[in-house]
Amino acid sequence: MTSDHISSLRNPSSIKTRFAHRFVLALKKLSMDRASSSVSMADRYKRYRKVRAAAYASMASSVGPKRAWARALLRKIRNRKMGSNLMKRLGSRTGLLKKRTVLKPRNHREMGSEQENSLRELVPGGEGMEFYRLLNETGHYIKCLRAQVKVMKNIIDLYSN
Amino acid sequence: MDMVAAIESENWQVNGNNLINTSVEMIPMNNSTVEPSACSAASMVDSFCPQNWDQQANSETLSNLDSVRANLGWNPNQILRSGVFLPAVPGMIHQSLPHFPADSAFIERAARFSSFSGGNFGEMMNSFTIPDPLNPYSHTFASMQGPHEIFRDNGYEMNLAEACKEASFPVEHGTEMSPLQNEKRRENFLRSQEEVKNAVDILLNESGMDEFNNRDPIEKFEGAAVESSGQGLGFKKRKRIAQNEKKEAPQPCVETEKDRVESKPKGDQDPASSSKPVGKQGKQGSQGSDIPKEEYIHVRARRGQATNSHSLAERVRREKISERMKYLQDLVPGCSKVTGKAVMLDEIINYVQSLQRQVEFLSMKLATVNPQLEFNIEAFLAKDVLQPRTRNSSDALRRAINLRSTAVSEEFKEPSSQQVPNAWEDELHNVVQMGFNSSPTIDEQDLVLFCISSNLASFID
Repeated sequence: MTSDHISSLRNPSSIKTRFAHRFVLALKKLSMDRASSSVSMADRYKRYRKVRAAAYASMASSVGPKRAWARALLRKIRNRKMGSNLMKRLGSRTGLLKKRTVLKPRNHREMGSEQENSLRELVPGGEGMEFYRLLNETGHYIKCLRAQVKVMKNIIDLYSN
Repeated sequence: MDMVAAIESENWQVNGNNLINTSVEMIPMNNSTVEPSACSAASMVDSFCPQNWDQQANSETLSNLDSVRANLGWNPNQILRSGVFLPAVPGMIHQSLPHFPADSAFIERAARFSSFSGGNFGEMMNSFTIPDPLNPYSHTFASMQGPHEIFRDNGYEMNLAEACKEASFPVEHGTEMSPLQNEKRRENFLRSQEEVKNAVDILLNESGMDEFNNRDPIEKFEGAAVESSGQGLGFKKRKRIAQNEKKEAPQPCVETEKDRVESKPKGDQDPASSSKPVGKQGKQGSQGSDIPKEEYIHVRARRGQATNSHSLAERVRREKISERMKYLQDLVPGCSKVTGKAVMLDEIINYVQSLQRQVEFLSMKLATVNPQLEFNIEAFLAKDVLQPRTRNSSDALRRAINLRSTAVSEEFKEPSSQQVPNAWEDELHNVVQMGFNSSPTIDEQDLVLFCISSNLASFID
């Protein structure tokens, strides 16, 4: 079991490196694309959303497709992006955006405890997996979130100096 | 007592498949010859209604023992593959009975006692103090040289030890246990000691010792003894189970092991249905207590429960889950003292939420900072972005911004649960405090509040 832990967990430092690279690249792209420093609230918020999406997307892509939560996260981001684009064009609700959660019958949907359900909501892709797998994904997700926070903090520190 | 008796009587059908059933059935027959050493033993025996109790069943059991033993192969892993062991044991008891009536009865009683750790052990407990069972236990065992020899030869104890080991190694860290947990362990330990003592007494009285060459009943006894004294076993292979020193091995070993042994007999769905709710209720009920690794304690099957593969798989699953919870406990800071699955899950959830909020704050901060600074990718990558830099200037900024950010941080704290451990809450505050640039504006604060209020449904959804 211990070996499973080790083998199943990517090396966090390498993930950190990859994430840092991708995120910085994404930020640069964002800074170049967006209209420079509009002070309006809406623009700031949009920018914030983009930065956050970039953070999660770069983290998820650094982790790779092996992790269920990374895949789910990327799927969400893409759906959101597609949704916003389509909404702009069609101006109506698009059924394509409905994210279909894999409904594994009975085992995973039974009277999960309250905490279990809230954990499922927190961890991306947690709806469709059974509890044991959910705990696995949570562990890895926590590690990557921590790495993400550290990198972002460092970037901000670099900026503010 | 009553509960156990009721469950057992309900579960038992003498079809030779259920070891426990046959064990219990046999006990009443030999009751007259047995001197129950404990009042509980007598009462338990009396409460049984012998169902198909007849010599025929006994002979079957005994004859089965030999054949099954051959099949068993004494693979140390057998005990862990409960399904394999299952068919062996029930048959064994049946056919061994006529040859060793004492053994069977004793085994049954021992098994029953060992399994009787769930509900009404309080009755047994009341009449005993901790030291008492130890002395008669060792005494009784010491007098049994014959079985000891056989025990030594029997690889079964190793199986059980390994099974105990596997089942309860997370609980080995007794240092982490709180006093309440120790009390609980002592209780269970005491109880199991009493059970073993009773079992041993029966064994002595029934005086089947000459016939003890048959390994299977001994195996069963060992199972009971090991289970009861599994705490003493620790998780090492011991030569002499009977003379275990009374170490406080985690009692979950006993219980999970009992689960394995008892669940092996196939058959009754009723016991599974009737006793499972009890087990599960116990599990849910215990979440409020401070028992460590409660999932172990309440994984323990009631006697006769979990006689099918579903329950076995479920128990394995539960053990996996508890191991994973332990791993998460190491991952989440400040959770070393937390015990119990529910509290642990709460902590994990809070931690994940806090990390996600941190990411949001930092991205918001970056969004405001970005347009003001130029991005020098090469410079970034050259400097080690991965390492935290000295924060001299950041501290100054932070201080300057503190007044501003305290309002935000307070609001931010609201959604947090009250169980947030201090370790990462401080980290969160750091993030919030540094979340503002040198030129905080009202817009920024509004933006932060906007983010908080929307909370982005945790972005994920």
